Amino acid sequence: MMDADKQKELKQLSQYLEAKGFQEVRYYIKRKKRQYLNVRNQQIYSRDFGDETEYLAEGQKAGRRGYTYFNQPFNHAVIADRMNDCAKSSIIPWQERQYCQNGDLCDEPWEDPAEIKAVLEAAEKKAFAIKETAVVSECSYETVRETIYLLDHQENLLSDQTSYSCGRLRIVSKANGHIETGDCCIYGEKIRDLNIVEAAAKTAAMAAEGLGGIPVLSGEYPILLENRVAAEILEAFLPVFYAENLYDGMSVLSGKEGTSIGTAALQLMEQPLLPGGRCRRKVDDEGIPVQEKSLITDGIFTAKLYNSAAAVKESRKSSGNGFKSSAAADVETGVTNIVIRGGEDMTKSQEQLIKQMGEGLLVTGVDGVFAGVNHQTGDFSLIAKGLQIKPGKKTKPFREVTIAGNFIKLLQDIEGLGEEWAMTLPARQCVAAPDILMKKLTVSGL
Amino acid sequence: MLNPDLAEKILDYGMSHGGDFVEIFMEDTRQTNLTMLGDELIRSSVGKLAGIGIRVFRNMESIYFHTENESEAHIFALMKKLLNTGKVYKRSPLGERIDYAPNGQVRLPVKFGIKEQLSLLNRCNQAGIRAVECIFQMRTNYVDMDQKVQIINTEGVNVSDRRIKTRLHITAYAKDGDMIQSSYIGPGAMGGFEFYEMINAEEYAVRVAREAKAMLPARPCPTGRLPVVIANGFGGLLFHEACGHSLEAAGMLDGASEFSGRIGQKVAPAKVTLIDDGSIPGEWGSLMIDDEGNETRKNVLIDKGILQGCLSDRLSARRMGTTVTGSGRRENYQYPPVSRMTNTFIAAGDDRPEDMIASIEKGIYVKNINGGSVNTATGQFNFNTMGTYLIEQGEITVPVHSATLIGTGSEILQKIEMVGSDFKLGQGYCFAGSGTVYVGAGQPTVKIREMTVGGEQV
Repeated sequence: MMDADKQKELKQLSQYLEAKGFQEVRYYIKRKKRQYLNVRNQQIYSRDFGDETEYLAEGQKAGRRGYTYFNQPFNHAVIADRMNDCAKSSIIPWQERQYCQNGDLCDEPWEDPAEIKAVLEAAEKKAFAIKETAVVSECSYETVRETIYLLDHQENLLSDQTSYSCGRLRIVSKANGHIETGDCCIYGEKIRDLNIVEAAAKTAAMAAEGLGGIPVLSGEYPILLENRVAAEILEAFLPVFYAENLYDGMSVLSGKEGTSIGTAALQLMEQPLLPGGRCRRKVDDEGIPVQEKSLITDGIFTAKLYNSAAAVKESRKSSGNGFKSSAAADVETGVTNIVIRGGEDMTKSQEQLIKQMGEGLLVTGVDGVFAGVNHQTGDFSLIAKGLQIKPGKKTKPFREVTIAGNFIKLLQDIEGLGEEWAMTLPARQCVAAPDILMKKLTVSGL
Repeated sequence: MLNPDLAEKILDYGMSHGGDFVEIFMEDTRQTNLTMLGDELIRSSVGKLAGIGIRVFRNMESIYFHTENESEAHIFALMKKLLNTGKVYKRSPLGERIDYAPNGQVRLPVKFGIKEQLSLLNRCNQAGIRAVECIFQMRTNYVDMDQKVQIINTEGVNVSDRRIKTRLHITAYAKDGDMIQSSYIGPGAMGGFEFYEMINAEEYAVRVAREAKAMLPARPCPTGRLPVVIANGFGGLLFHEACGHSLEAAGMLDGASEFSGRIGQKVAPAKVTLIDDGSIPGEWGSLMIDDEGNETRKNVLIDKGILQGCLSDRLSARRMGTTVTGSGRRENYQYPPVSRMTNTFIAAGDDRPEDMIASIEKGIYVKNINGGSVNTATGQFNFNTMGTYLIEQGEITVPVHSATLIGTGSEILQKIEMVGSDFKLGQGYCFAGSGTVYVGAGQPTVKIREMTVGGEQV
């Protein structure tokens, strides 16, 4: 539970703010604990440790919202001044909140750094067992625990927590003047669950396999997006499901609710308590329960995502998708764990999907999703690398091409899904996806 | 400011428990971040964070921890947990504190209520909507920051700095039927509210509104290898991505960058000079001192085509056996510093932009960019264009959809054919290992002989 001293400090602050004319003073509190260890050349290279708590205080003054963030709650006068300024100028009205039940909290001790170091050293050795491995520039393990508390003026306290541990690898391969990289990010509860040693071997082999890649000819190609790539592209397009974007034509899905946007067997779900999911939450950052929901059902766009502010505009309730990137930030729209599924007849091993494709490209890496996707049009254009497939087998590597297409077309053109899932890199939200086989994308190369 | 006795105790503890270098970074930052969509305030964040970060080196190993609890008891509890044994090293005595400060002209944002800032945003949005009829939405973001830092280390450094920054980011959305196009501009400065008396923010809003409208007839962008002309200003982010990141020391270790081991070699035509300069007065990407307490400076990375060096922070300099370049940066006390860029740009040449366009039979003209990224080991970069036009028979003709331009840093440098005389610097952010930092990126108009253009029309 929340530290008693911190609760006492906040009570004193509330009393001070009430004396300054604020009513219904409430707090959003986020505590983030993080331990990170990186090994290089069989030595600990860097070790970071953080434990920080940030607060957002809100209070009502004449129907207007006064608010400010801080991390040192004892500075009462500064906090009150900033809240006053906001309440005087703000056009944001005060919104009532109702809190639901608590999530589960745990505060297990950190894992032993000596055990982490030993596993990472073994992983690094394994990577160097592949002769093309020149540099292991990242071989790290990170554990993050985020706990949120919502405390209202009646001292109702709501809390929830998400945590993950993650192993990261970046391996640089070199041979005959060629350079290629392999990246990996795997999740689990403890370092011994991750099998990071085997992941290092696979990542090093993947980097070596990509050596000597050259661009392919420009044209339209059948494409198999490897699971990590598929998850990354889907994550980049999540904002097209947010009501705040759909409202004003700022999403490619505006006006398409209830219509077919994907292949008939396609399901896109939010599963807050997905086993193994990275963002496991019971409530959102506005204290509203996060429910399982289907964004796409049998190919039909079925659910928009709302935070409280977006819901008010359409006179409806929030869908439990109000999340904050930090205590300081305003509530935006966000998700917990998103998963994509298809019918059983669509689900196959990667080998079977490659055979089904016959000739085309297996895309094992993309970059540039930060800027290369357009939510209004659904268009994307991303740098890609991978392996050429012909006939039904992996052949030569390719790189330095772009793959371009449209999000809706991508969903409609899905011809098969893989069996193994990958999750996106650590961020506020998590997308889990299998390999995705699609009819075609435009490739720009030679 | 940190109590000097506590600072001495922290340094002494670190140096007597295996650390051969100890650094304290103390920060107190007030920030305002407001976004208006039309006349509605949709995002608002106002407040202050403060805390301390302590970094200890043990030979090549770095240990870093941070906390907002600046009490002696809490700091020592953490230090004892992370550093409990080891050799004893001597340290330099703490020097007399040197205080860096903004010039006297700065009008501190804290003196202005957010009412004034909201009024500025609303004026920008209304100006764009009024000036151009097909603009259906304007979105403007305002940021200001007042960051006070103190940096102390066992080599005697004891400095403080106060960094005042402000920036607008104005986006216009134009619509014609189903077609929506947007354009943005992001003017910013190292300075306070006086910046908005020096620029005409509403004129910027009208300009981006017109640019968004101009893109409405855009047609699909061609694919393939084409000559590309990138306009002066923030287009310089191309070189931030294509070469800058690969020249940050942290990425060059053990031969892990495409430029590792190439210092002194010719990497570009003689007309190319690439500079990173964090000391330009008043610039958005500038700092008086970096986040390790070193004065920022002009670092010439490529001089007339010859690779001169890289950007180095203290830890990378130790690991590589080089010297620091005033490039150690971090978003805040929650991150250890690493080598990062400040204001990075291609210096002006003497070619004329109109000659560049006239020399191309079929190619692409890029007025602005959305952003990009790079794999520093292979040098493969990508960046997404905004305000993209076709060049046909020596003339800029029609707008085309945004495209992704790709290549490798070393290849693109060799393909720079013409460098204009119309140098301009733009303002933005860089997202990387030590968090989000403010950067400048610039160039004159530049012609690249050939790039892979990732459009949608084969």
